[in-house]
Amino acid sequence: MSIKAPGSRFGSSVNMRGLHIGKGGKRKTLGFYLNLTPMIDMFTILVVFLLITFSASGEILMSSAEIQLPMAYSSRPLERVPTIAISANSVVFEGEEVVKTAAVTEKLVVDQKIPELAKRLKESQEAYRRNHQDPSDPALRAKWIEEAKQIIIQADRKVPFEVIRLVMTTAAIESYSAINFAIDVRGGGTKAEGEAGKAAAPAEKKAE
Amino acid sequence: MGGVQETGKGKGLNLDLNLTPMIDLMTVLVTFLLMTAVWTNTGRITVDQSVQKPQKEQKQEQPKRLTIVLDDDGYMVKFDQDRPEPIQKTRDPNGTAVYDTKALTAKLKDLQLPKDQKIVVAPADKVEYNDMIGAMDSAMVLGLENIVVADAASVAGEMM
Repeated sequence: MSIKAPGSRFGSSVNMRGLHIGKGGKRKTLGFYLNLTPMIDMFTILVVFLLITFSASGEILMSSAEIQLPMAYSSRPLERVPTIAISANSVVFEGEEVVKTAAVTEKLVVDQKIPELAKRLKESQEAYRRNHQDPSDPALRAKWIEEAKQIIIQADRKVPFEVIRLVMTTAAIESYSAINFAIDVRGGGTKAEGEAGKAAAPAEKKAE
Repeated sequence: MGGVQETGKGKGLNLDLNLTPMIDLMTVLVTFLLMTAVWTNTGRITVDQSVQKPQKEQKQEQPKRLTIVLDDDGYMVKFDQDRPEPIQKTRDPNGTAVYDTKALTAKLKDLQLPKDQKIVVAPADKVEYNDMIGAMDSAMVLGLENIVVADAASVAGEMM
């Protein structure tokens, strides 16, 4: 049985038949093909994985090395609302340091209200009301009111509750009463807004 | 079709698909997706701290309230008029004392609470934020999302 040279493979577009060895007039041609199949397989899997995990909404929170978020199973997706970041060193509102965390204690804060933060929150609330006109339609107005009181607290997991409480109280005094605690989602993923609504009865206004 | 060539003697076709544009496209796509990828999945847990004004004609009986206090020893759970029940801290594999969130979830499950049950989470001042979220998450995994946060000192009276 005679031995036949293999023919060209499907997909081997990089043809290296042009490579020559030997010197002088007689040159031998190398039958060398680069097999691209595994590379294309890997690329395809990588593209599919990245497309599935792709987030078009982008990052709403600025991640910081000083802040390690707590983890939780149950959560809702984040929305773009004003953010208070609390690390072991400082309290930051919308990217600007407002006060040192060490200064946020029951003894140092008068009337449960952090004055520097309260001032910034008041300005933010006024800016929202200036930029978003109060709609006359009752349905739209309810949504407008709901959006106006949303705030995110992005705190490091080691921060004591005393600091969180004083920040929350200050926010509530300045009309930011719907407090959203930012968390890292453990497994699964965030619930869609509708799905979260199904899990529990609609939250009513709570007296506390 | 550029890749289809007839061999010299006209026997059969040498079908050679040019993969270069496909590999170029794949490379660009992979680079773009890797650069824009968000590897952390961040969410939110919402509590509404707004104060409801008391209504004059409100003569309904007071709804049952569940209070979870977090202190140095662990959780203290009180439902309505029942006696407060402590859930002691447990040890993790490193031997560190941690709040027993599994026991808390089991306790809440035993109570068979309605989905709109109001839950007050009241940590002491020194309790870490992570532990507060742990307690809230224990309730939320059961679909109990009507949560408010209070100060442990403010609910101390009702825990007696």
